Amino acid sequence: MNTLEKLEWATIVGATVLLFGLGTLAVPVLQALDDPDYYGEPDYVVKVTAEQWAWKFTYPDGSESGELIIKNGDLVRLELESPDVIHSFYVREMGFKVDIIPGKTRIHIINAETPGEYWIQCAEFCGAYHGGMRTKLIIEE
Amino acid sequence: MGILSTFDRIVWGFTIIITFVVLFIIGGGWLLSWYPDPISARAALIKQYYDLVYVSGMIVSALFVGTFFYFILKFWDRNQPAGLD
Repeated sequence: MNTLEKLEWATIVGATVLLFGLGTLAVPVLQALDDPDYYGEPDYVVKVTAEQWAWKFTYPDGSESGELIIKNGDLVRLELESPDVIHSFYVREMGFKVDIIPGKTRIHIINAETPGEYWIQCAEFCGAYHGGMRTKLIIEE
Repeated sequence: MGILSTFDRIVWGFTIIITFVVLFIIGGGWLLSWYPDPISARAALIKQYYDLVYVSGMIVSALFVGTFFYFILKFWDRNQPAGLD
């Protein structure tokens, strides 16, 4: 086997190992991201309405707010809806975005583990004031 | 020693290392891009995986560019006049 053949085999084996290695490691990440049942039964549900150009959060008792306020340790099921155009719910510190498509309810569970205030930013261009469509996620002690 | 001289091997090696470093910096690695600390176990898991993909991509890209130089050096006919003299 000459040098080029060795190099060719090294590339084939290396690429295969890398592909399957990264693929295998991605499975738990995808489950944590996309499986609504991954964390088990949520403590409560918050309905999130994203519209041009504001966020509205509706809590189980019927109250509403412009900021998402949850308690530390809560497991919250977000049901995200949009009446107009596509928006995207993005909390940078939580490492995910959820596209909110009109006519569909997107489900996402968040686990509040660190008290503080974090930005919720629309991450899908949704019109003239898209840049200003942001609010706070407040995780209380 | 084969076809490649020590100089060729040094160039190949340096190409891989320098490509890795350049990709690391311009790709927005830990030195240049600020990103907030993850606030949940899931966010940490996601970040850990993305970092792994990022580093793997850099290694593969550096090997790719390094191999390009390897082939140039390996098949470069040094007896052929450059046409400049």
